[in-house]
Amino acid sequence: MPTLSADLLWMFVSFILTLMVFSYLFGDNALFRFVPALFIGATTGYMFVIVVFQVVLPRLVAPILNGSVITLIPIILSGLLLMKVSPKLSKFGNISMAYLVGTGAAVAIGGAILGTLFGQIKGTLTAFDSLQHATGTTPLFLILEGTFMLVGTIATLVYFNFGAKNTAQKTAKRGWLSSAFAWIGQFFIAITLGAVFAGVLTTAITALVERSDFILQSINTLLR
Amino acid sequence: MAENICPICERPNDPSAERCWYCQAELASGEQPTPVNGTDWLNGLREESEQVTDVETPAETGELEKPEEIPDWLARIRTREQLEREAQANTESAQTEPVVAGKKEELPDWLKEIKAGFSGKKSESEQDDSAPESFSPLATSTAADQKPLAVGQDQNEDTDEWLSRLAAWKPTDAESQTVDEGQDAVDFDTSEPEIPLTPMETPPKPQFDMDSLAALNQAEFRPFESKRGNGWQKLNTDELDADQQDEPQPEKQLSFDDLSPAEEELAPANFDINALRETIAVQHTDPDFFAEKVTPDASDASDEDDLLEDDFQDLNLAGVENTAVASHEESIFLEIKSEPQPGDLTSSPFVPDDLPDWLATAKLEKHEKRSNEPISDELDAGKLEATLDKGNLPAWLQAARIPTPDADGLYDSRKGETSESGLLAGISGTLQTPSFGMDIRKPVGYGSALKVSERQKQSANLFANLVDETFDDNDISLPKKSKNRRMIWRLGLAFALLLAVFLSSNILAPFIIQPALFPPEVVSVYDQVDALSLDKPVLLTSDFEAAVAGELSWSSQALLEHLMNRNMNLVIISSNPSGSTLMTQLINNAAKNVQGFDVSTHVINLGYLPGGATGVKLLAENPRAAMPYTHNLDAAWNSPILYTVYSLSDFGAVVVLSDKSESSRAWVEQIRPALGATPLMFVISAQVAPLLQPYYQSGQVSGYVAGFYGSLAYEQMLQQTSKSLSHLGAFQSAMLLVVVLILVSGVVALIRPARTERKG
Amino acid sequence: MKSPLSMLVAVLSGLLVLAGYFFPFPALIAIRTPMLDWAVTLAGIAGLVAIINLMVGVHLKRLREPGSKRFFSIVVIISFLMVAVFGFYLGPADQKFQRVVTAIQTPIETSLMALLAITLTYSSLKMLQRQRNWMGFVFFLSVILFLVINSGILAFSAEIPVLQDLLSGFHQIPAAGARGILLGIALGSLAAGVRILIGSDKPYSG
Repeated sequence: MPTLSADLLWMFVSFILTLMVFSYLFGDNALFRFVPALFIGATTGYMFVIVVFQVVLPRLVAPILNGSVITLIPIILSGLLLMKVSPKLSKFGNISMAYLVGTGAAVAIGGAILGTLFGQIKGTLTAFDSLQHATGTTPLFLILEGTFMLVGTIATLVYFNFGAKNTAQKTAKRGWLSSAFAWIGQFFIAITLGAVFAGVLTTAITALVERSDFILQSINTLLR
Repeated sequence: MAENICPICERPNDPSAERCWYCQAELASGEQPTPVNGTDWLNGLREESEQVTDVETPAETGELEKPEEIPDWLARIRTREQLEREAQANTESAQTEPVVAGKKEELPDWLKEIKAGFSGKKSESEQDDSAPESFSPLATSTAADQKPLAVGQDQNEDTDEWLSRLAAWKPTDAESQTVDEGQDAVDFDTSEPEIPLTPMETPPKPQFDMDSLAALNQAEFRPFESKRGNGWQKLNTDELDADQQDEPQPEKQLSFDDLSPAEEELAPANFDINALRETIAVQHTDPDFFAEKVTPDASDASDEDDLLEDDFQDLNLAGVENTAVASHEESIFLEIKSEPQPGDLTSSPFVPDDLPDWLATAKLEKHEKRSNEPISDELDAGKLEATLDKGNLPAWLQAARIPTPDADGLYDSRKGETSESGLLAGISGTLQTPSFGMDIRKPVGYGSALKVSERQKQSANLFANLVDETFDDNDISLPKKSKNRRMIWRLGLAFALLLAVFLSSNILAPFIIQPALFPPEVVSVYDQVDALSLDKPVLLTSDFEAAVAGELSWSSQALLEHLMNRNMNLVIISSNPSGSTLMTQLINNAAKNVQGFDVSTHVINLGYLPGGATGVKLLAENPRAAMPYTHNLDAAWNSPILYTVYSLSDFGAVVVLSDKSESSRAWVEQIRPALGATPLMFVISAQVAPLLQPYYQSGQVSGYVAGFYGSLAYEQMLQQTSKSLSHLGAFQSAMLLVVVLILVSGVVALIRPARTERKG
Repeated sequence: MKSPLSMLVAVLSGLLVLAGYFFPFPALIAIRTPMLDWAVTLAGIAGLVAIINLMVGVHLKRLREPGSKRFFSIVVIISFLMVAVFGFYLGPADQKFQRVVTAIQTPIETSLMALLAITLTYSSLKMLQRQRNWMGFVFFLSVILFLVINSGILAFSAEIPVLQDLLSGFHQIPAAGARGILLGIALGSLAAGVRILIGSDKPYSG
């Protein structure tokens, strides 16, 4: 029998919690419902402590104690945001929310343009550019690969374009070129989403293997 | 001998009768028009109520009802060509004709304007002098053009009068009232023609509240958008016939009679806001149209209140409930066809004079309530639903209610069929359960900017149902047998997977296939780490949840050990609250396998960086401002590890551990421009890999290790045998088992006919 | 205009931050860094608001309601208070306090993810029953192929160059699709962001 230590105790807690979650295989039950309640309480409690210690104290309290007057602005904005808790005072928090949303939108725009749009368009064209540095690969293959990437990217984008013209029959229809690209785009999207789904399943199976390993280890340790 | 069929209740009457013996509706004298496609004209009207679609054309209705009594102007509007030709001819002869003829002449003008407004084309007059946009209730009351039987022969004289009165209506201030959003969305098409009107006390200058309009959800314009190309404004009968075949029928119509009783009995009704919106959208009505005004009758308000009270008593409903009844009347018409129901009369274009008061007012009550709705986006679908007392609904109404009208148009092709399974089993004229599975969701409010095809909608709903089904075993609609079957399947699957995992370590161990192919992205990471300068610290950012801690601990183990073997200084930042702890745990675990690496001197934890992409941007711009303290609240940048770091490019490398493609994208977008030559690498969950691959190919990401198999490849390159390899057998066994199961089920599904096919 | 001050704040703050991306003037950067810092702080405080709302607005209210939900709300509140008190006493960097994550949060979340493997497999069995069309078939084949690739059992293809090239080609297909999807997401973000910056969308005025 192993000596009772903190590690062992916590391992036992983890083991029991794992089994409670797996009890869902037998249908929804009280044990399974208990676990999310515990999880929510513990996680929010942990987050509460982290936010106080790593946001409020270092970003609001410490600077103001150091005499930084400009910190009054985030303090006021934070105060206004906290008013969101009360339904009566909630509207005062809109200013802080507006500030958050405004800066967030700007960050999203800047990132989308400089990070993804420019980067990915450049990346699509780089496939052709690599012809100059090609070693060991035939130029024809590189051209085909680059064209494949280009067509796939454009076709996928075209598929997501839902704009259409009204025809004489009052039904919105794509043009023939757009339809053709959209059809090709569907193919690429199906493959991509299939790959993503396979990735999710792989992640989940990895978690299952990890938990199975943990269960075996725990049983071995507890029985030893 | 031909019977005179009542247009309201469809029952046969004596040919000589002027009024229906059953419902007292006025009958069309003379011979009835030949039913189209073997049904009478009302069939089409009833069918319209079964779906939220287009609105019937006034020309068609008028023609079918009472051909011999149709005035010239209405006859002329049957065809567009005729209208245009005769409008021109009448303009010339108008000066010599009597007053009535002159009034007739006005109608085609505004009709043309309405037509132009809805069809997106300008009428001739507008093209000439592009009149200022004006507000007209008529522009939206599509079926107001219909000429009901009850109006009789005074219609020509009435035309001018009602036009004037209509011009005098204005919307009243909306009062706060919560309305079922979903209901609202469903009702749009039907409610638009049924515009309750309020007499204006002020001159009928176009008035509307811009703030209210600004608050309107754009999606609410969709019904109107869908109407723009549809029926009622089309004056060409040929076109109409074609549309009737091709397009779904409208749900309900508003007739002149709907308006007339409203004026006479319930004067202070408000404008339907839907009509207002459409009016604003159309905005092509001639301003001269409002030249005449009607003084409102002040006594009408009190009359209406009394009527409403009576109505509630008659209906045995509270006020709110009455609204619910009214709002569900479209559903009523879906089901009850064979006999006339009160709701039929209220929504019919031919409301007889002796219509029961409670019905007439109940209908108008609905309009009033709707017009009093707060014009905001805060319509809470759940609130109103919660306030409804279903127990108080009449039995026939409860029986007639169906979940949701099918907005996708599927209904049209399936009407008349009887559902054999699902919620609507046994109810004739309802949707059959789609072959792809039961869809009992509310209609999804797709944005007005998107034109989503039926197939895309079905796919979206299918996916949502699939996800729901995954965890939604508590659904009370599931029979116990089905629940048990699912549970058995799940248990069987779990047992098989766990068995494969447990057995793999012993029995299947000889059959595992070790990685021999090294993905280029993993090789790139290895090369970058191998080439790191020792004097620069490596920034490790934790952007993953505890759910994938197991996978990422395996994936990152080899990389972390590689960094520690090189004696690199490590700096930890977390973009989620628990990430810092998880990262510390990973480093501690890795450090156990690396001799001589002291965590306390080589690792510094800067803690939690909130703000998502904004936080990452701040970090990229000024790391010292972003993370001023360690997680212990010590001054971070005085430490020996960090005192030489002023920007991100001063780090030797940035390694992000992530389990989400969105946050991975945010990291690439925000910090890549600030990194310069510093490599950006990822250790990711397998689910992120497909969406990170393009960033690697474009050179924005220097490399990544994805999932369990990626870490194995890294280990092979490091020539280490770690714990991960011992899990490879279990991993491969479980993966292969899943592949086989899916493959077999797919083959079976292809061989076996679909359930619907089996049922014939 | 519902709240002009809020809109002004959103538009001005957004434009100032956005300008910094394209015009790296020192003055602009000097303004932008504290602005981003405030936004980061506010994001943290927003998390605090969410926690308070969850505890006070949801679970404390549920205590007055009878039924099983009340019991689970009690569990939530008690566990929250215990962890919070424990955390304030020990501090977030304490190893014992970090057990909350490693011994409670991690096993629960990982176990739920493991359950997902079973339920996803179960759902996948019906994949072709539900979508009997060519799109569904392509998706099905893609899932099978990438599951096999992810499992690593095609490692033997290293000795067969043709198979290796074929696998490399298969990897290009999702990369092309993913690039299109990423560009679409970026365009969508751009449009949504611009709508906020011109005051057309006001998601903060709730």
